[in-house]
Amino acid sequence: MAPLFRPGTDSVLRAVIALALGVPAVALAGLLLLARNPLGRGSFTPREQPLPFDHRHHVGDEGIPCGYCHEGAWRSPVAGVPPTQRCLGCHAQVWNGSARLEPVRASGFDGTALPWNRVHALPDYVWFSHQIHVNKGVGCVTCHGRVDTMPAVQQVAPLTMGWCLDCHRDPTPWLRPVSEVANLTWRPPGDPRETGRAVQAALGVSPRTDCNTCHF
Amino acid sequence: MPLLTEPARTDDRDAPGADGTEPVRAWRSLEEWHAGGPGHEALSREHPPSAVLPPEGVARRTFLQLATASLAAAGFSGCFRQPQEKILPYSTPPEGLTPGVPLHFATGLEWNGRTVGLVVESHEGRPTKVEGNPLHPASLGAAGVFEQAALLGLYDPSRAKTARLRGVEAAWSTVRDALRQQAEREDAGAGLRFLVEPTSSPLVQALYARIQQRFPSARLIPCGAALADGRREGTRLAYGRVLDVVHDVGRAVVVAVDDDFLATTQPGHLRAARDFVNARTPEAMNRLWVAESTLTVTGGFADERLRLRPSQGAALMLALAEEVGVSPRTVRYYVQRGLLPAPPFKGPDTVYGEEHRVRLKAIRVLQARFLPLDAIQAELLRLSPEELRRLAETPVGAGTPPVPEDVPRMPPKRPGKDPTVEVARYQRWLLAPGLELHVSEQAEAKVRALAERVRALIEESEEGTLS
Repeated sequence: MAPLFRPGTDSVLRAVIALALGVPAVALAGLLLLARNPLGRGSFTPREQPLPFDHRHHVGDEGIPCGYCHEGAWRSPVAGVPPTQRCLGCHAQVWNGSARLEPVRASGFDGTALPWNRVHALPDYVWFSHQIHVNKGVGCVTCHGRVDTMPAVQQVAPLTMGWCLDCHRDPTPWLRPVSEVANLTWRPPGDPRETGRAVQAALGVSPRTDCNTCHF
Repeated sequence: MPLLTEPARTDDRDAPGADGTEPVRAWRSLEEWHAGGPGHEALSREHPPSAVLPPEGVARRTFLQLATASLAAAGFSGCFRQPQEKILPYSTPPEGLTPGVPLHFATGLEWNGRTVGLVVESHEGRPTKVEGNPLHPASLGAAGVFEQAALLGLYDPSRAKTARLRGVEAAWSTVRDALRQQAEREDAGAGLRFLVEPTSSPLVQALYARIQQRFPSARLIPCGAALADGRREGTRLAYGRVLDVVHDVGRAVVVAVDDDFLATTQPGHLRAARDFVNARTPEAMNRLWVAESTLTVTGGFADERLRLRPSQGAALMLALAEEVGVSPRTVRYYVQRGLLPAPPFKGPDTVYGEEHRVRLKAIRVLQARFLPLDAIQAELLRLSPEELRRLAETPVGAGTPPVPEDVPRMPPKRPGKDPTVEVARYQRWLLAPGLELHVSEQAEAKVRALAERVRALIEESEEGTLS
């Protein structure tokens, strides 16, 4: 009488068990990693806009400072996108016949909003205020990157909680004088920590790391 | 064999049984019992024959399984990429607005014709929070339930978005044309009726006056969810004209008879509550006595609460007036003459304070000294609250200056007959114990001022001798 189980049965069984447990575990871990990865989230890809607005031209060539359009960053939680009338402030004179600016003129005349695509989106359970960061010596470029070199704006910082906490726990290398906040090309003259410590003392920078600083 | 079968309803229902007796009738409802009657149609709808058949097509269970599976599948796709958010900036920004920074507007909410000043927080044109305006006398920084709930009304989906003309939604221009057509009618406005909410707005009142001027026969009819009609009628009965009731409860003793002045439904309750609590300090606790027929917020807050039938309210008021020795009619007369501060009235029920009691007692003491009311009024004005209180505590009749028996009593005033009699009528002002000044009732203001100076001089000299 032939044996009921052949010699390799144990190995087959172990392999089946390993696969049954391992495949879901690996798949789950992979999915979670992907969900936390800019690759999976697509957050580092340049974001197309309804209008071909180019920061390279406006900031880089024309030298328009950040605060001319995003003045809310200095006095509001949100930096804000400029109203259409501010676009037309120049473009009523410059390129006022351009077909590319037709949507801007239409928005300015009939009062409808230009539907810009949001690039930097924090979850709704996070409270973030531009005002405090900008007035305590955190530069635009520190979080938003060299916007003056981007044809279409893209996210350069992960904007995760760990990334926030890194700076909140040790802000000195990232601080700059308030006068240089909107300067995209400024670099600390010597040791960044040296400059940061001076700014920290001057502005009384003491970032909090309590949960309810951002989540309330 | 099916478990459930449609019961045979029509056949042999009323036929006699085999043995000639009535068959036992099974029924599930009264309608079935009265089968064939007026409810028969409804019954056949309630238990249709197909109700016991197995379902066809997608069964409920299968549908739920499919729905759950597709929901779970949808969850996977939502893990990675968030939906694209839009930023919609203003085309032309409102003046003074920074997006992200709320604005605070001072405004007012009218409720039953009484306005409460409010401060409303607004985010990019969307109001989010109502608070009282600390500078407004009716609010003093507080907001009640109606004021808070007014915010929800702004987002009510059933809130009117367009005008309606004869029950049909219409454009504003259509309504305006229809109104203009009405306004151009030539008659005096017979049959024209306006349903108006009670308002204290002078602008709206002026508008109503202009409408009445243009259409004398038209009528403005008050319309509201809860009009304070009884209260207004009470003031009309008491004073001959409709008055608003304003409570003055910041007193040392407050007696409320069937008056729930702290209730949130009461107009002016915000101010009343603030005034009352301000007078309730640990150093000088005020007293609240409430007599009422139903337990109210005010009654629950009272130091002493008396259960009282509504019919007994007037009797209690009379008894309270007796305690201070005057009738309610006299009290009202004194108020009219300015001897008493105007009390906060609530229709026929009045809230009197400690000040009224002291003053009434003082008036009684002074009356026992045979002083006319004018002199009493002058005396009340002259005395400090402390002196007034001491005067009220003296027993009636004590300290009466001796009145000589032979003082001729002046004949009653007979106007228009004998001018000398009129001139002969004098008022007696008590200047000091044992010293009186007689002032003609017809005396001019100059003479009265002179008399006042004399009294001031005497007072000064008295103070001089004391010190």
